Amino acid sequence: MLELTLLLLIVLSIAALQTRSLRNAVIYLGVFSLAISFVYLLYHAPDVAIAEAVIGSTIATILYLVALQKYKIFTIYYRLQDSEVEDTHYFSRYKLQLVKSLEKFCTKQELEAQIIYSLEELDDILTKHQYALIIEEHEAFISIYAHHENYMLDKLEFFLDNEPAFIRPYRIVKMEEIEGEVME
Amino acid sequence: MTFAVFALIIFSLLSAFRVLIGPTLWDRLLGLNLITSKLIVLIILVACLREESFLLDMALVYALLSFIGIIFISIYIQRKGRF
Amino acid sequence: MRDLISGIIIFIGISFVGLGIIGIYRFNNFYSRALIASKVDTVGYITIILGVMIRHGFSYFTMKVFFILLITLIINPLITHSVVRSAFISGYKLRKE
Repeated sequence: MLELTLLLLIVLSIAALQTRSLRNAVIYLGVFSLAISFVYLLYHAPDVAIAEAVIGSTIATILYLVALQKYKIFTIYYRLQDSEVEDTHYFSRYKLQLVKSLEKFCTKQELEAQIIYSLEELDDILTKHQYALIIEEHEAFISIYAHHENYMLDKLEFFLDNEPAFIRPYRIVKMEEIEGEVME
Repeated sequence: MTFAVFALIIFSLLSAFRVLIGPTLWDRLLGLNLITSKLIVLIILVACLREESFLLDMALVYALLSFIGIIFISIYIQRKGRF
Repeated sequence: MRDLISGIIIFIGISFVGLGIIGIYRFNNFYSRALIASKVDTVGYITIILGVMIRHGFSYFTMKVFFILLITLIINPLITHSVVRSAFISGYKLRKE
């Protein structure tokens, strides 16, 4: 049973190095420290195992999260229609292509992409939440809403032009701030 | 008893596979919780096999610390990056 | 005699945990997976720890194991609740028709 746990350690460390999202890497490191402290226990060293559990799975996790706070987060809302079959497994090909290229853009600009699939109305998202991009899908094209003061927008347009052609065309809409909202 | 230890190790490997393939972030958190609680039971079984009662202190430490870690990560995600 | 009884109880607990593992891979919706992971596994842990307590009789060891049982009983549903609440609040509102 020692060999199985050592195999798990190798797989987890490679996964923590190769993943794109930094929050997933924090979770992989938590599992890694738990597994390695069990290996210490099997080698008759319970004191080392206690120290590894305290430091590795609690203090290191909190420190990594505090450090991730300095990292900018790029929030992308994906608005779904009511009638669609709503699970991540059923997403079709052209949706995944756009989302993947957006994630690649965020990795290039040193941003952390956070994609939220939501059923709310467009106005609700505009007024209630903080957003960077809102993606909505129509019959013939996909529209990307962005605030007109978003300073990443020029870089995003340049990046999407250089990508290989999309199956469905996209359109970027710049939103103006409504004056009544500013008053509130 | 030895059969129970082997079965629990194989089950925790399967939950680790859920952590690796999970489509969303919360699936991974769920898998982390499963691995932690299986590990606690595994330590209790090992302590029972070896007749060493000080190994149970480790199980207590695990149970309390995993609670802090997972709750911290989930609150961090819930507030979208601000504590 | 006591070994036999505790062995049977531990085997029942292991089969509960195995059912939970099957449930994790069976469903493809996040909330169903969370339900399985919180309920079936907690029942399995209670049963396994009861088996260990019966095997050891009345001693210092049993008292420590009982404390761990109490802590696990409180913490395991609490963690699942926190994770599902975080998923619901941050916008994972997908429901399957």
